[in-house]
Amino acid sequence: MVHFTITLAGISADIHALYSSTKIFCQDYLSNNIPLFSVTITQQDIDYERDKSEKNSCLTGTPIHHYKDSYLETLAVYRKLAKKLLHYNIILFHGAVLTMDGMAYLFTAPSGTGKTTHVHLWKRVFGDSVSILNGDKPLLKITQDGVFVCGTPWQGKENEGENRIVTLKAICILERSETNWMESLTFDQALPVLLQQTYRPTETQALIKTMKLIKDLDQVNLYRLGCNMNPEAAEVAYVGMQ
Amino acid sequence: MKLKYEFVTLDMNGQIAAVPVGDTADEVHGMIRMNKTAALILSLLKEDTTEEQIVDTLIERFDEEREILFSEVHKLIVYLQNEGLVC
Repeated sequence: MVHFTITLAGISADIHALYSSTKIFCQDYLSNNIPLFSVTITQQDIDYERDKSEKNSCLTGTPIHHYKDSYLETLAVYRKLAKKLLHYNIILFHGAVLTMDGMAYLFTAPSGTGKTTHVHLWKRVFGDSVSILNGDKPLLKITQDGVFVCGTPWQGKENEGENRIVTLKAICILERSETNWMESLTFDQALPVLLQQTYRPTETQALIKTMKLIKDLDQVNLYRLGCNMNPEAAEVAYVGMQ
Repeated sequence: MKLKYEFVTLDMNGQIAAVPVGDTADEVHGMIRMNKTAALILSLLKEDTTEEQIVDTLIERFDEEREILFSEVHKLIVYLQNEGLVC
């Protein structure tokens, strides 16, 4: 058993893991703060992740991956953390986040649409003024003063991200298109995707809490971006979100 | 006839969203938008029931013609059947 403390979205938690690789995975988020709660991983949690992954492959018709237990443990840790973090008005969201001019822009879409490609276009076009906050699964901290995006170790295959907390300026639903275009969305229009891209717990009360927090995303600017892989896509997105 | 899955229904800033919950929730794709009547029909489908029984309940609550309510119930149930959400 490996024991360590991490701080995510300003909240510290004790982690009791089975694999030392999980501590290495979380290395940029290790802390000496006093933990508010603890998460313990068992072999049963790892088996649950394997089962979940295989069922998801069956549902989506994609090949079943045979992941190592050590990798599945990282998923189990995040699932357990996400449930606890709900109590602090924090939700787990699927998307790639970049920062520019001190604000965060979150691009969300189903896996394989091109979120990573798009945020890399921003880096190409705007250079060092852009940094990637999280490439895959950031946390959103929802407060009365706004919504904040928080870096996490779960930052995608490219492992791009930073341990920072930045004000969220906009959420942009990304889809592939021959041409580049941008439109503003109402909360109603964006809701199905916001729900789909948020981690939804299996327990009823936790899901209700999640849905109530999603309601507060109406304070964020919402957009849909149709884009191709040309640098112009980043310019259209940036201008459209100002 | 009853729902195959459990749903949470919540008013999301003016529109009611029904979202599947539980270990089998992943089998259902996304949320269902609904009005208040549809949300009530969905809640009645938690227990084994029939279209006639649902209409009987709605008549007690809404000042509406039976035929109109039946049409609304039937439309929703056909949708739920097509989506594989009732058994």
